[in-house]
Amino acid sequence: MKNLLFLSLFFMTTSIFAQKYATRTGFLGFFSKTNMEDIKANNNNVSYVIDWATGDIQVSALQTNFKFEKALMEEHYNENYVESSKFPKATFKGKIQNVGSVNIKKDGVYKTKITGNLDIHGVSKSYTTEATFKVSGGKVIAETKFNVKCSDHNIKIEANLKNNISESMEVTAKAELTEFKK
Amino acid sequence: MKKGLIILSFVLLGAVIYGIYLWNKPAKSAATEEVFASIQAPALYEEFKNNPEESAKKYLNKNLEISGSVESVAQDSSGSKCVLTTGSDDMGVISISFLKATENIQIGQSVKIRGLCAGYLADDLLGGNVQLNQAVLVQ
Repeated sequence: MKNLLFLSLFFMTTSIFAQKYATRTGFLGFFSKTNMEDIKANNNNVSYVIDWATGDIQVSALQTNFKFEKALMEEHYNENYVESSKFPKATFKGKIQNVGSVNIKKDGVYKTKITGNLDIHGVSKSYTTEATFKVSGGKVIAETKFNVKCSDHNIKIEANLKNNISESMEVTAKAELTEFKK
Repeated sequence: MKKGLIILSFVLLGAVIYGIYLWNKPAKSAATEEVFASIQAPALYEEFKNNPEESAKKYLNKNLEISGSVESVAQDSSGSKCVLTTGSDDMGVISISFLKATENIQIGQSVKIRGLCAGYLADDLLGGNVQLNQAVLVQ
């Protein structure tokens, strides 16, 4: 009898802490603005995983999934800048600060910071960004924007293209996550 | 002298036309690229899962003709998508993004699709994901 009680308690706690949310079709994009040219790239096949019990967040994207306006830009991006064949993935692994302030059981808009490491082009760097979590009907829309410097990830822009490609990229991340059930 | 100028202007014209061509070059798609291999969805997935680096070398940016069963379909702002079952115990899938809106795909349907291989994303929780882009439905 005692065992049964313990067992049911165990299952109760695991169901409470099974708070993983995920998607495979999140968005990640970046934008470069110079006086000469605006360059935009979008990726709609990005996987996001958030564990609300620990605050762990993980985002992974394939470099070859970034779509540009021009095929030539996409080629240059993959071959010259991020070297997709050598470094096929961009990943972010971090923690949601003060994760307890986000109540995924209650609809609302929650703002908190995320700190973690962004790995692009084989170079990992720590970032902290303000993120918004919009909880509505069991879904969570996570969104953030931050800037990434190309030189921080050992991505070199040729001198003659400095007027066309900005050294600082505005990165936008947005994803609708739903509860993950195995 | 005059002849030299004419030749030079032709060379310049050629360079300009080539420049315009490069600038407007259409994106590669599975509709136009030569098929590199025909493969079953579970076999492709296993290959990537067991040997991600070698498989990427072999298949990246290649046009693959893949056969499998549809697990889910989605139409969103970024276009038509579908996911093929792999039968793998880690819930891995083949994710496909279509070149054009492709609406006549049903869950459970057996399909043959051509798509350009964008690579493989491993994930402990979600299971792996082999991505094909710019895809077209063959049957």
